[in-house]
Amino acid sequence: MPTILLVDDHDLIRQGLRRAFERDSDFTVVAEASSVAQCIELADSLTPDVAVIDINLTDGSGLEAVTHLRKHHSEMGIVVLTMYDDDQHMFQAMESGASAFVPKSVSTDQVIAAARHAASAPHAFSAADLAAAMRRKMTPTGPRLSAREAQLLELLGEGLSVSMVARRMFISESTVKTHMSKLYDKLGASNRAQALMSAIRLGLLSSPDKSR
Amino acid sequence: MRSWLRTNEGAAPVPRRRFFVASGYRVMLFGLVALLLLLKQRDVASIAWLVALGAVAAASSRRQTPDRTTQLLLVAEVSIAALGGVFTGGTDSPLLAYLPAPTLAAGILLGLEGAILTTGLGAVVVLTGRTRFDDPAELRSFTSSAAQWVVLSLATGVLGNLLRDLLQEAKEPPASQRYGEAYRLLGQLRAVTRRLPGSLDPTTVATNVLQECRAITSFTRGGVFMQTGGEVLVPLAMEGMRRVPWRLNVDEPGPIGVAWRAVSPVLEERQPDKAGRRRGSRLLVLPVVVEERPVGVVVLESLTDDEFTAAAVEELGAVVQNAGLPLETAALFDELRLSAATEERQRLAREMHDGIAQDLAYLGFELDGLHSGLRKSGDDASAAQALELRQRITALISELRLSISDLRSSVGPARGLGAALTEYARSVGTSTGMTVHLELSEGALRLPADTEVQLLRIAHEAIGSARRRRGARNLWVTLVIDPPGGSLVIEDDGEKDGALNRDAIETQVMLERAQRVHASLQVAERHPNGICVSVVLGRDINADDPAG
Repeated sequence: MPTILLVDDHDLIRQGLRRAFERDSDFTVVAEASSVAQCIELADSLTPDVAVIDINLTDGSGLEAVTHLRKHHSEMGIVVLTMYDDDQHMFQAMESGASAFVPKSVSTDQVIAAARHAASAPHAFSAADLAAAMRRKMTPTGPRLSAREAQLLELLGEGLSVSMVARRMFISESTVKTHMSKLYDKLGASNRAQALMSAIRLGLLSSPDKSR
Repeated sequence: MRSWLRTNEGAAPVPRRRFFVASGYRVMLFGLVALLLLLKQRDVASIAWLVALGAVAAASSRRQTPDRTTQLLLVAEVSIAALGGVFTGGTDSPLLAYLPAPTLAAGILLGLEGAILTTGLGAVVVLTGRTRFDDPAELRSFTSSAAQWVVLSLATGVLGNLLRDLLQEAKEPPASQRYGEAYRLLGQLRAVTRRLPGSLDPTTVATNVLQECRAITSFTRGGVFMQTGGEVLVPLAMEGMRRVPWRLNVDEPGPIGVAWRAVSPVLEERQPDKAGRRRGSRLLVLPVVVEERPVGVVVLESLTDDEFTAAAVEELGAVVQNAGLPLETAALFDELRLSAATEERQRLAREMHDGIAQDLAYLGFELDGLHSGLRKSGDDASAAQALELRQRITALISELRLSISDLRSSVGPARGLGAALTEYARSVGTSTGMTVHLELSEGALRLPADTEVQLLRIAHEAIGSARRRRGARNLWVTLVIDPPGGSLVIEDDGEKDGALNRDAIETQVMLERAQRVHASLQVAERHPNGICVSVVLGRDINADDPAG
């Protein structure tokens, strides 16, 4: 019978999950933890088949525990169960090495299904909204640049100086600086490097690696 | 003595100043005693007593903690000094002069009780030693001499106890004291703000400044701009223009930068440009100064040559100088209010996340168990009810999560309205499945902090209503910021029948927020579906720009 470790800083949630796993699944709950340190200690000593981990724990982020477990127990299934079910946390869980990402609002059937998936395929990642999240990531809702600003961004990306940009765009250096100021503001940047990084992250500019 | 020896176990080290005074006095007296002893009595016994006293004094002077070992060493030190005095010449013994050293140390390190007990112990030892003297004259002489030293030791011990408080090092006040200070300061602030002749709203104060300037001289356009953290000034009030025509970066060249750095008025004659797009004008920049530090500028521009005479500039300078403190006070008050509101919202978000949201999730898990049990027992009707209840709980959790997201979303010095709105709209899109169409147009300038906050809250209300509206699949958010003006439009394509009535409370809240930042708000049905909420900022947004 596969074993499971429940990690959450709320007693009630652990209690609800324990009952659900004991009632409706073939899992055996071997231990409960409320902190990152406890989780790591219990996982190291008991090596459960699956760990269900909350992100918000008493002594830090559950994702730290996920990273540790993936590094030291590569075959352990890891389910991240959280109230923060946004894209950012989902991708962070994936990058930390989780096998599944489940919001706390879902039914216990879905939590158990995620645990089964994690036990059978610990290195594959599953999440209910994964496809939509990937689409959102591919088409970001970032700031909309004017044609001038887009052209300026391209030229800045080529590494041109202000005077060279001015010559290329047939405008004065002062006007270039005004456009740059607006561009930085839209991208939430305070210098050229930050602006270029933001633009690449938002998909407004292709990264040098990709363009090669 | 027992309680004295028992109570200080595990005590913390004493402040270093106390330690140095106690040890310094000890070294000085020991040096004096040793010198006198070596000069007067060079016998083996005296030197042996001196060595014994030196050893105990050395060990005792190293102690920085008023614990049992320190107490025992002080007992040993005073006993050796007293006994040594008895056995090395009585009245003539220099060792008696050492008695005040351990009592001072006891007073400093252990307090009055320690000083009295140490002196008392010395007195007992000396009294016991009196039996050694058979000759009545010698006994009287010794008793008199020893009594003087004992009294002096007691006085030194009491002095040590007084020094104990004086040598207390300055330390961080306890948290309760800091709260007490904060309470007193906030109480004073409340009393002061109630007595203020004017407003504590930065925009109102700035508008009053412009009106006072206009009473002195006429100008075509003018504005009050304040620093709120960055190098670019933020417009608080403007007249005669719909957008800022001047560069507001205080680090850049130009009259505003010059006036800022020089902290003095700058009058610039501006020539018409060759293309004829701009007429010639006179530009006056008056720095707003508080405690010899620039905090903002008042900029006035006139298209006629006869304005801004020397007398007018002097009068205007006085107005702006007087306005410095009210403007800065209003800005500080605004910052304090916003920071308190943000902190409270964060606290509420944490409480909701850690409290009711987790409880609802647990309830959902238990309902899943109930539903499963009912289904297995064949009670389909009850199972369906349990399932319906579960679905409502799930919807409630989602709603709660969005409320938490509302509470956490905020603007700040490093995070403008556009960035906050983008993140919020994205989180709404993620959690509701609505497609969010976001269009931002922000310039280099930012709006005043309170205006940004109120616009964000209006966006929260409008988006919140939209996501609750049946059939809403798309959300359009358009933000245009061009200080001091700007607009925010939020549209959805949900059901519009009766929506305006249902959202009456939200509309009222949005209206109050809009009024607070002098903006107009319109809530209307959208064609063919949905509701459109639009906010327009800036009283002069449609004013002509005479300078072109």
